[in-house]
Amino acid sequence: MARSTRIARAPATLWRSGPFGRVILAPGDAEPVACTGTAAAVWDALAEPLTLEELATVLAAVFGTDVDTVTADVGPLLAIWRASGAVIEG
Amino acid sequence: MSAATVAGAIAAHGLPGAPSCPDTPLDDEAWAALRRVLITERLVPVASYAAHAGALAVTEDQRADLLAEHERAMSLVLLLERRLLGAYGALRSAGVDVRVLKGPAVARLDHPDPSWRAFGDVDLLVPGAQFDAAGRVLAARGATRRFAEARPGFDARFGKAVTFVEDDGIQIDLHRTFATGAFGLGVDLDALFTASDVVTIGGEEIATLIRRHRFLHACFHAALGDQEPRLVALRDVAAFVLATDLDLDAARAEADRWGAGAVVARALRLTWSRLGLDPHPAAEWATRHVASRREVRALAAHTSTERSYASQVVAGVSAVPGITGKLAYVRALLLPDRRYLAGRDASYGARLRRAWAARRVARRGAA
Repeated sequence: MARSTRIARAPATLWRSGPFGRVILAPGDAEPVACTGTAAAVWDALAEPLTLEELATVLAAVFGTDVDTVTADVGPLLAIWRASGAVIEG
Repeated sequence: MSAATVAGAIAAHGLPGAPSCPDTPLDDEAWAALRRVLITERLVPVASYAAHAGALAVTEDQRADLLAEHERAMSLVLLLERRLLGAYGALRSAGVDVRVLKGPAVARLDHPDPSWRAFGDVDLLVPGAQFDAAGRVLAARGATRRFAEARPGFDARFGKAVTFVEDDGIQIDLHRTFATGAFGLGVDLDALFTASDVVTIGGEEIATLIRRHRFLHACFHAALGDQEPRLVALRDVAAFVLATDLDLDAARAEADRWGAGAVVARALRLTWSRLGLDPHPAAEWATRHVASRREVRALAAHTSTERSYASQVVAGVSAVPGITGKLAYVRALLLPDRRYLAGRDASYGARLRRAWAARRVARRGAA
């Protein structure tokens, strides 16, 4: 995924957020998936659509690490979410 | 402090005038009892938020337990909302007017965040004239009706709701009105469809009742739904009064027009008593409220220890307009279809005995 690709939560994704973390039911999933740690932070950051670079910058500040490391870390997660329809591009 | 008392305090957490929760963690035995109550009363999310805010003292194990149960409750509501969207879309495509009731709507519109509110089924309201068509739509989607109709046309004309169950056990309650019997028959059903609020679920705009009608429905549910109302139902009533811009005077006036002022008063009394909230003008009004003779009789059918579906239906006879309507209503009550009997009473004889017992309950209520 290019760093300039804009990512957003898919409107059809059902989710809840609370002290327990996040649970997400993507259009392509049969069961809700629990998100904690980095995954929860990514979901929260995507409250507004962001490019991959913007997302990595936000998370790098949160976790005190560099943008390249974050970009590499969140890539697989975003690929899973794109496949299930939890997030969309554009 | 008993589990029930602690649960009452938890149910009020976050609302103005709420009592304090325990400031030291419960022991294992007391926690196990409270945990059962929280799950049954659908209060796990509120307890989770109370613990998160430090208002409810818990051990680390208890906190982890609450968080796990909160996540489980929210996972269920997501599955229910997916099912809601499917049913709602199918009904709208068939030209049926629909309003989503209770959990999915109040969670988003009347609570601080949807994750404060758990629910366990899907409730939809449709106009009586479209009730049978709506049932056919749900059946075509694979849902099975739980009980047969008393007589053809009874549900669309007099019924409260019909439960449909899908293959995996998820339940969809298709409502025509808010309650069985006299109170349900008094609701101005046209008014419920004249205006609507909109709630966005999964990117779809879903119609629901306006806030005043959501509050009145919450009162019906709290006052008449179960002999011992669920705490989550009482919290809904309290939240409408204490944490939204509800016009309570307008709501009470509308309830009076429906012949249901006593329902609102009972819901408020139960709420303030059970949740231990500080005094409030709404609760003081409820304490002073004097129910009419007709309301007392109708309430008895719901609140008596001998309450039954039959007693509630019998109490509704007087609310059915016209002699022809009353005859049709009584005929369905006394001479229902055999398929209906098979699902409820075993015989016409048992039916008649229950109707006779129901008549006694209604009379005692009037005494």
